Amino acid sequence: MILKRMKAHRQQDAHGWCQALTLPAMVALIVMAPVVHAQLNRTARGRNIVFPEYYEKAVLSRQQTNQLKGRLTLLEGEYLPNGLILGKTMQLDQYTPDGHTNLVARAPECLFNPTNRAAWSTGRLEIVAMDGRFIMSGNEGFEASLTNTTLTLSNRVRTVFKQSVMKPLSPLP
Amino acid sequence: MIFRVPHLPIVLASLLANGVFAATPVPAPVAAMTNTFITCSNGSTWSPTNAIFRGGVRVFDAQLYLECEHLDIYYPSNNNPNAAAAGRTDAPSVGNITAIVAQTNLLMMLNGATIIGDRALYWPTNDMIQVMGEIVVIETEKAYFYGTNFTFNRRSMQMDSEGPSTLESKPGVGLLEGTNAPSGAPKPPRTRNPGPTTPGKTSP
Repeated sequence: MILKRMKAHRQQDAHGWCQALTLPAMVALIVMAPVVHAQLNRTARGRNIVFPEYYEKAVLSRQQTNQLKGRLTLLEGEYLPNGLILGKTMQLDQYTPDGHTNLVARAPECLFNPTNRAAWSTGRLEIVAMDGRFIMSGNEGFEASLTNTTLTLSNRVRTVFKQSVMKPLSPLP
Repeated sequence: MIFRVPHLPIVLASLLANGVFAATPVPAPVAAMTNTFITCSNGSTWSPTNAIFRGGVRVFDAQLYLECEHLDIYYPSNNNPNAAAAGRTDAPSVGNITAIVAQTNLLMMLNGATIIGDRALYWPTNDMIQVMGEIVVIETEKAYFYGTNFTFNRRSMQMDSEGPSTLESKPGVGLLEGTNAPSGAPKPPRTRNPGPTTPGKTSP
């Protein structure tokens, strides 16, 4: 009799432990499900991935809405598990509020963080701006911020202005 | 065996016409260099309003050679939404430079002048160059200028100096000589020892 009672007690204990463990596990599964799902999605690959950036309403006049400020295009992109995107053949276009292309930047590959809208690489970047009159290139890394509209090139940078920075000397009238 | 060419002049003429014996091509006339090359060693930043060049900056231009450690080039951003929205045509066109600022270890070589200083500013709108520094040295063909703040107007070719400045003529150069000297200006004294005279002829 005593042995039977001890066995029954042990079985009840085991049941209790199981119940105690199952509830948090289920909650954890429910909570983690979207994360797991998202991580599965982030390993996806794609082509012609476009990240647009729009002007803030304060900058625009009343009539304009959703004016495009910049657009980052990746010919090929791969979502990495850490949330970044590894892109190949990146092109960054920036536009003035009146719709003219202000700048075109090209890079053979880059990493892009969709959270802070920044792209960077240790490789080459070439910038063409001012209607093709301003060409800047660097081979040793860059960082581009879509939000702040800045491009920073590392180390040795070569720039060509297709115009003289100084006015030509003209004879006095 | 002898090959006969019946109409040698005609064959030669046709070969010339086809460009076989074409004369040496005349090189195209060399156009004046209008591009500006800027190189730097510590990176560069581009933004819609300015471009920044850092570390060992060198500027090669047809009218200018410049070395400095930090160079800023400002241009109109064209981001004025009111002007753009209203379709105004007086908005600054993209490509015009509004100002150039060169700083630290400045060396500037212009047409006829070499300048050493700490900071230089150039405004293309009024064609003015301002050079500042602890000591600014300007070397021209005839003289050295020492000072702390020089402003040069490229349109009128006039230079102003603010603060203490010194003018030192180069050896053997009279600063008041030349066409710009006023008529009553004193001439520099003649040297007592005239230059070497030609030796007299010697009889053989």
